[in-house]
Amino acid sequence: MVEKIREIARKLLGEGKVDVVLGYEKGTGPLSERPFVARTVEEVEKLTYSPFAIQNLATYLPRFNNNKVAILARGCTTRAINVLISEGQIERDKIYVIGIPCNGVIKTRELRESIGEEIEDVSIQNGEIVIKTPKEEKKVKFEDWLNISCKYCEYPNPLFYDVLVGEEVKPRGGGYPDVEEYEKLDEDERWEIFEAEMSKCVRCYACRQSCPMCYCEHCFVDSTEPRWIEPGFDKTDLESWHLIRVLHMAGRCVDCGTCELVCPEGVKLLFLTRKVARDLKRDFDYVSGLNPEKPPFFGEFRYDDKGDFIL
Amino acid sequence: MKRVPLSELERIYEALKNYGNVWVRKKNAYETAETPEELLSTVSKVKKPAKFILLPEEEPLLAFVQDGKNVTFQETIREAKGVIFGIPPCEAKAISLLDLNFLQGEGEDVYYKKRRENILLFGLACLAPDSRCFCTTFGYGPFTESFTDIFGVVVDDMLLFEGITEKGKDLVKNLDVEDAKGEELKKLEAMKKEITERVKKLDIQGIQEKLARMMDSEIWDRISSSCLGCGACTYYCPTCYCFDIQDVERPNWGYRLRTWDSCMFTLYTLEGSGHNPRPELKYRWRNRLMHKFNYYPVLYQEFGCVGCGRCIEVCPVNIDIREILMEVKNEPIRA
Repeated sequence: MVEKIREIARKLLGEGKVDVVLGYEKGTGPLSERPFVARTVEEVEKLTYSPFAIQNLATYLPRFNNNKVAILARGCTTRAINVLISEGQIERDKIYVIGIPCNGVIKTRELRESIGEEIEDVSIQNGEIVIKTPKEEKKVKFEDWLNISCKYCEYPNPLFYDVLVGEEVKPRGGGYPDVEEYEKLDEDERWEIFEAEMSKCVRCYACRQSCPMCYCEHCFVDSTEPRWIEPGFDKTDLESWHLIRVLHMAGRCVDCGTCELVCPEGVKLLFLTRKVARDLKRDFDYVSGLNPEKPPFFGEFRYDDKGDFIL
Repeated sequence: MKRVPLSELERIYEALKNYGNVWVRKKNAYETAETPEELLSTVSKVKKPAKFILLPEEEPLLAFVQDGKNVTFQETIREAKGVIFGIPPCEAKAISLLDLNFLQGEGEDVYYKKRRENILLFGLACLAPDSRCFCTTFGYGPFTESFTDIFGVVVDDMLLFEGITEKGKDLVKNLDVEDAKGEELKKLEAMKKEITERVKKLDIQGIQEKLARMMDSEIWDRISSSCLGCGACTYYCPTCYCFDIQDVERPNWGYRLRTWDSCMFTLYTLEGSGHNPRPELKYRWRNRLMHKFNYYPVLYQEFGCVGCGRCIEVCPVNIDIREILMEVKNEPIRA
């Protein structure tokens, strides 16, 4: 797979069809594969791909609007591209999509932290992640460390592509059992979980910056006039910030999970974004990022919309 | 050097407690110890550095209350007193760098100073530098005692320690502990050599001068191309201290709040006019690197980085400052 990706990238850059290839390279830490912008044929040799490549690359597209770009895209990446197109942020014909059928990405930070000691080497063998530490070799189940969105992903294959690398995979599917589990709790329990998660936030905004949908030049949280969210760590402000962000994502969030995966404090965010996604699917049969022609969820008014709701 | 068995740490714990709060290393942050056993923490790198104690994420600078036409102001200095136990040399050095900025000259900061003066650093040698550590690059190492008040090393089941500063020596003097034995000191020396050598040292000679000539380099485009522009690297950095000040207003009262800020944020340099002198990520990246490896050494003859590797770990896209430094070093300078 990696060789095929490099071959395609080499050709695209070599023939001048694109200016840059957005892909991944091996990170310097264990269990990490990071975004990489290949600009020359020589740099193509660095490109690689594995389930440890967590960042949704669509996040970078708007900053390359003046270039011809090739991008490595999983199902969720193509959904993000669709949303960005439907919102007028990027143009499809400037983007060359190298489609990658995806088996899900791993909660790399959480896994790294759970090991608690230096990791020397990591590999994936027979559905297991094999982690070598100076003392021992640990094996954990691949499925146990899947990003929650990937665990129940309906769209692991790119929705569109200019070239596809590898064979399409079968969607795991499965709906939103995690959301349903959360909903079973009573109000106090839900509030307790919500407050505990939000209180961990240090306001570094890694969630916002990594999100392909958070492209606003001026985020509401940074606004001083009016000041929607005050500075500091009052829980009202932390909680409002995350809630409003999640609501801004309604019908736009493509459930890639990057926000939660990159959070340095491990704040759980997907139980909120996925609840909104589930409600939209259940109540309006709407799934974000499936059709670039369709107006955004909140940009559309239909006479047959149900009136008995507040999102 | 003194010695106390790890099983009898209560002998020093009481003395530490008499001094004030006792912070110990937990995985995520330094926390107050409730029992002497907690001094035994084996966490080698606390995710949130001790900076969180000296320079909290938020602190009110003053409060104001309005009563008719009268406005009164109140002091709101948050004090802290105690011992940070087990702080590794890299973090202690980082605090010495914060001191340069907050304790002298024009920058003297009463809020920081009030806490700093009452906090004792009981350092412990770092026995487990990890693959992201590059402390030895900056002329010190995992066994450097000079930035602490008391410095210790765990050798087998014994804690060996000694007072470094006057304050530290005073505290040690009153403890009921014995002198370390010759063979223990010998073992310590061997450990020091072995563990210090484990840290991968970077050759950054000449980086300060090189950077001064690279304001217009194309390297900043390249370096910043995968950066997302979040503040994780700066927030978890033990030497980054930038802050923002805003008023939080209520109907008849309010307070002036200082919170952390990050040079990686767009808002950091955004001016009231709407103009932003660092409009793109590449300029912000340039500033961050320049601050640590040029401005800081120019001002204080010290780099503004201690090589702890936290930024590498917390970065959502694993941008590695060591690679960046090497890139800067190898970049040809345009005539």
